[in-house]
Amino acid sequence: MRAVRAELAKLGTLPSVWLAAALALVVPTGIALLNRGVPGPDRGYQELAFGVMGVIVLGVVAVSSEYLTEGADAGGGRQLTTSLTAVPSRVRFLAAKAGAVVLVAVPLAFAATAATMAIVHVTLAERAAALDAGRLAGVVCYWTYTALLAFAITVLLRHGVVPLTVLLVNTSVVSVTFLLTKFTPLAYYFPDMAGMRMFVGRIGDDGVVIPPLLGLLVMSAWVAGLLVLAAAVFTRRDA
Amino acid sequence: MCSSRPVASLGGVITIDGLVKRRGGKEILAGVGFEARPGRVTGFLGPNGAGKSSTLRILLGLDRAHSGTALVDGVPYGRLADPVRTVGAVLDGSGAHRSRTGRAHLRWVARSAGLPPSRIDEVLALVGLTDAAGRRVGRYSLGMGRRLALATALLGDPSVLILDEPLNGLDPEGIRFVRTFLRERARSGRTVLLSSHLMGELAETVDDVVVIDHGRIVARGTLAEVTGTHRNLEDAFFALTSGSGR
Amino acid sequence: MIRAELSKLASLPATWTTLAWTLAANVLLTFVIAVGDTPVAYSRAGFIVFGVLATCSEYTGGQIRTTLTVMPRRVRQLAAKHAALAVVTLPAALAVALSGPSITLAVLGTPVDFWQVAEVTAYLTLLTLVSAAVGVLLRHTLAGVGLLLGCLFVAAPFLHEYLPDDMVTLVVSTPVLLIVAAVFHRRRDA
Repeated sequence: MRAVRAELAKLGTLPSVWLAAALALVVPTGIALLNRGVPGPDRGYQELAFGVMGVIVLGVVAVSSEYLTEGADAGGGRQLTTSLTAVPSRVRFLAAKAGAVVLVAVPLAFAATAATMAIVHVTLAERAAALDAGRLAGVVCYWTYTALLAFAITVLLRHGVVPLTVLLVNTSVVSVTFLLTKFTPLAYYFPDMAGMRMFVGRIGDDGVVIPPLLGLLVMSAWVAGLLVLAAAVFTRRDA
Repeated sequence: MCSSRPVASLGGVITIDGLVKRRGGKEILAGVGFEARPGRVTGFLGPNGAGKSSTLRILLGLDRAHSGTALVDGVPYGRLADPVRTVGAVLDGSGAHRSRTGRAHLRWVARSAGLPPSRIDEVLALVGLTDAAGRRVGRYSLGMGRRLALATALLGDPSVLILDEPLNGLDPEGIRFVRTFLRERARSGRTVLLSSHLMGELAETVDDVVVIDHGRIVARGTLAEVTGTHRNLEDAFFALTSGSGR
Repeated sequence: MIRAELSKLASLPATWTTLAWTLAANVLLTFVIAVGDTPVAYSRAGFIVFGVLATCSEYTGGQIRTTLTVMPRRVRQLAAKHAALAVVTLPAALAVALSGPSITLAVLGTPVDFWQVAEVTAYLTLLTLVSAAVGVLLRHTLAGVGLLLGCLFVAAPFLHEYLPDDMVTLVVSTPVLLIVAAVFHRRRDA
């Protein structure tokens, strides 16, 4: 638990984490404001699906900050060396860090969901879709999982630029994974495509229908798999 | 601009006058002024945080002063006609991108000044990095990074060498090498200005001493003048800076 | 100075990996999408990363101090950097712009629209220069990449109706950002 607290302290003192938090709130609410007045069964949920930028940044910088050598006088010293001398067990270190990311991502997801839904209900009034606890839980789960995905990929690559680029490009309205579904229906089982099923009813022309529960399972499997892989690689390589 | 003194034809006079620098409301330099002359090694001494690096960074045009001037041969660094052949600087670290090789780093610096590629091998040999030239800088040890920085500074065979804590991170052999090397540079009529917080290491190397504390120059003169009645430079230093930390 | 900056770009492994991956992704996506539509929209990301890296790499290992001591005239140094960047980017952008249409030509026999290829090349090159300018302003690779991708991929689609055409936005913003970057670069402590 002390390790988790240390990781939370690290996150809290990183300016980019505060930026991530701001993005998490501003992006989905901003999109909701731009889309105001257009009713639909997925209004609000869609905005939250596209608005995951904040938690992506959170997951990436939580790891990349450990490897950072940029900045005024870093001079090749990586924070990771300090971290691993303080918490020598690599698995514990990684678990603590992932735990801290979850502890930040969950409240952020709650806040963003509440704010976005509030905007949708104010702008659409009675035309807004009724709130559904299951779907809202799906949003929080999707956001948290997305943060963990970004986290795991960054651990594997030891650098933030590639995961940030790939994941951000993929939050675009027409995501790369969505394009891939035109190529093979298997692409519907990518983590983001499957995970969105937890709360978004229709995706594109829907070649394949995945029920919310299956979506949850598929995304959980991806996240668990990548985290295990990240831990396996992280414990084996030199810091 | 401020230097009314005629500049020696050989060149390489450093004239610093009335430098004031504030950072976040705190005055870190409060009117720093001194001179470093050709043919001499000038030691710029002071405890950590006294303003040594800030002064050198302003001299090199990296940071700006709120007021005052720092000139090389009567001109601010940014207006030197040929900076690489005039001044070589060694600041902390290697000053190189970690994913480039040592040789590639020297190559772009050489190109910026139109220096022949043969100079790269010369300076590599001079600092003893020939074997490591093809390795990425990120794989260098601390001492190797410092040697690369020195090699970079020497590329243009400049008349002025400016070094910020040049002995940091060097092994005893490296320290010895740098010391003899700097003495030779001065003997050949060039200007050497180095900062340090290590008094003992310096006494045998420097001709002139400038002592800074809390952003103010507290003493300057030849080594003998500054040491004065004290037993050695170290004692003089602590008396001057009232032992305010290292 | 341009030669020095070219030398820097060329000796940075990230330059080649970024451009190679971008081209590879572009070709791959062309096959996936197959018909007509070019995947250049996504390949923009690679050029953004390249542009930001070109300027932010200065801040790794304190290289910026070396750069500014050997090339103290900062505006000229930055101009040289952008010129070198344009020299490297143009052929890469042309390759990416050509790859989509030429594959379509080979597979479907649709003729290549050279005017469009030229436009895409210019677009990608300008985008790289803008990214480099943003990199100068932020001095932080991740922040630069995040900001630009956020603007292009997250915000822009929703702001579409409020913005002029992509190309127009870019042609206007490139000189503005280059000048702002140069002013900041000149003024601030390294």
